[in-house]
Amino acid sequence: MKNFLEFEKFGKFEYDDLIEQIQKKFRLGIKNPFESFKGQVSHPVNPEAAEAISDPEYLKNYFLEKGYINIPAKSIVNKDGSTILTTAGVQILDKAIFAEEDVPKEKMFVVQPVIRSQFLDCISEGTSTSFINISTEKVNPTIEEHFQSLEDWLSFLTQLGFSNKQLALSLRTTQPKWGDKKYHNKVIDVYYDNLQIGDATLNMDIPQKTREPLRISDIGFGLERIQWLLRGGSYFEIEDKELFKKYNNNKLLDCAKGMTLLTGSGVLPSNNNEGYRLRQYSKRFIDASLPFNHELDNLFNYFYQFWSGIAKFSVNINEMRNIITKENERNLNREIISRLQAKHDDVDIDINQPTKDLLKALRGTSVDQEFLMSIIKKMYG
Amino acid sequence: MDNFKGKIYLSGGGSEIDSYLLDRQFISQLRGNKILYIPIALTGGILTHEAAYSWVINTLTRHSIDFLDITLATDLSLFSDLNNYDGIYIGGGNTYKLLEVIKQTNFDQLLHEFLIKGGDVYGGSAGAIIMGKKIDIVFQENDNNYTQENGLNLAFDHVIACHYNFTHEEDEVFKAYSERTGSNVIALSERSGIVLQGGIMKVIGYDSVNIFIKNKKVGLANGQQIVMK
Repeated sequence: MKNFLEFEKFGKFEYDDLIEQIQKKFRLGIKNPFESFKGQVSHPVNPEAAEAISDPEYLKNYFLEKGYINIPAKSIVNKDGSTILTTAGVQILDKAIFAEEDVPKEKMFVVQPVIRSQFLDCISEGTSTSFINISTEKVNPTIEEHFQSLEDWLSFLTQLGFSNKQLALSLRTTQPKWGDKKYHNKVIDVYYDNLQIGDATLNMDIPQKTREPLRISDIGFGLERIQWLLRGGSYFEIEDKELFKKYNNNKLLDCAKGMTLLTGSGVLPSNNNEGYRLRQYSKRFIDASLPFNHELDNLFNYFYQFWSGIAKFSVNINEMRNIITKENERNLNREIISRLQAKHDDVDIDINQPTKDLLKALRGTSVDQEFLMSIIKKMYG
Repeated sequence: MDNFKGKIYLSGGGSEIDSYLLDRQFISQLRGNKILYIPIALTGGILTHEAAYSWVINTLTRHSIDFLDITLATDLSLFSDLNNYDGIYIGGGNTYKLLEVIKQTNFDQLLHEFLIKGGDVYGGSAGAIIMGKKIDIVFQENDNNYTQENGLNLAFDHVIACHYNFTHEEDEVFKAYSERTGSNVIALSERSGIVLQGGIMKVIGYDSVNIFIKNKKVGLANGQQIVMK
C-alpha cells in the first residue's frame, strides 16, 4: 500500500491507484454502470451469517479486534445536531464538527439507528425509512488509515460469505453541506450484485472556526441490506416468523418499526419538529393497517424489543404503546371524519378520543348511520 | 399556461422570515394538505437533503394549524404522476443541475399536467429561476457542462432572477441581458415573490419586484398585479 501521509495538497493523491490496489488485493468485481439490481435476492449468500450479525456483539467484537473503539449510538433525536433526526452514523461527530469539541483520536465503530425521510413513500424491497447504519469513523485519518478501514470492511464482508467477485467499488466526488459547513469528499460506493450496500467516504476540508479544517473517514453500511443479501426472502422479514406471516406488508412493517424507534426515544406526535415524522408514520400506518383490524400491539412490542438492543429508550414499552395507540386512533378518527365529510360537511367532532367513543358520539348525531357504517365497512374490508 | 388551474409561486430565495407572506399565501390556498418537496438542486448527500427537509417542514407548517403532509423526493424518476399531491415545492441550489434532472426525468411534463389539474407549484431561488424562459441569467452556476438552458417557460416568456439586491450594477446587467436576448427579466429580491395564475402576476412580499424590459425598469409593489399575456 502506498503511503500517502501528507494531506496538504489533496488533489494530488492517486485515489484511483489506491482503489485499484484494493480491487486487486481482494479480487473484486467491476461495477457495470448499465446493470442494476434486480429487486430481489435470488441466491442468499449465507443464512447462518444473517442470524449471527443480528447480534450487535458480533459486529462489535470484529471491529474491537481490529483496534476500533465502540461508541454508543446517539439518540434518534439529534439535539444540537445538523438534522432533526439522526440520519447517519457519522453524526456521532456532530458535536466535534459544530461545537468544535475535542476530536477523538481513535478510530471508532458505531451501530447507529437512523431514519431517512426520502423513502417514506418509496418503501420497496431493499429500501426502508428506518434501519441500522453500521459505520466506522476516524477524524483526521491518513489516507492509509482510511483505506485500511475499507479493507477491514471488505474482510468483514468476505468473512460473512460475500463473494469477492460480486463485490464492486465505484468512485464519485461530491461537494456536500453538513449543517452550514461546505466541504468536498470522495465517495467509494460499495456494491454487491449491483445493490449498493454501503459507502466509504473521505470528507475533506470541513471548515472550523478555531482550528484547522477537519477530514473524516466515514465508512458505513446498512445492516438490514446486508442481512437481506445473506438470508434472502424479503428485506422486511423479521425474526418473529409468525408475526411476519400475519403482517406481511412492507409499508405496515416499515411504519411500525419507525414509530417504535421514535416513540421509544421520547418523541411525541406533533405537527412539526421530530414529532412530525411520528405523525406522518402514523397516518401511513393507518392506511396500511386497516385490513388487519388493529390488533397490532404485538408488532409494536416486537419492534420495541428489537430497537432496545441498540437504542437507549427513555420510554417503557407500555408508555410506547399508549402513545402510539392514541396517535393511531387520532389519525383513524381523522380518516373517518374526512370520509364522512363527503356527505356531511359540517361534521365537527373531537378526533382526540378513542375511536369507539368517536363512533358512539357520531351515533348520537344527525349523521346518516348507514353511510357511516358503509364507510367503516369499506375501511376495514 | 392558459389551461392551468393551478398557481405558480416564485420566491426570491430568502429565509423563512423573508418569504413569510408568500409562504402563507401558498399554504392557505392549497386545495389539500399533501406537498411534495424537491431539494435536488442542492449538491450534497443525505445529510444535506434531510437538513433541507427539516427546514421546509419548519418553514411551511407554521402557516397551518392542520397537519401538512410534506414528503421528500430525491429521485424524480420514480414518479409517473403527481396525483397524490396538492402542492409541489422546489427548493434552491444549483439551477443548472435542477433543470437538467427535471428534464431528463420528464418531470417537467408531470408539472404541466399537475398545474392543469389544479395543483400549485412553488419555486424558491433555483426552483423559481427554472420556471422562466431561460436560465442563462445565472450562467456562472454551470459548473459541470450542463446542456439545458431553456427553462420551463411558465412565466410568460419572462426570465426570472433571484437574490436581487436592488443595486445599480445588477440593474445594468439585467437591462443588458434584456436588450441582448429580447426577453424581459423579473428580478426578485429575497424578500419578494410573485404568484402567477390565469395570465396575471401578483406581487406578494416585503419588497417590490422589478421587471426589466430592454433598458427600462418597471417596479411593482406588494399587492400590485399586472396582466402578463
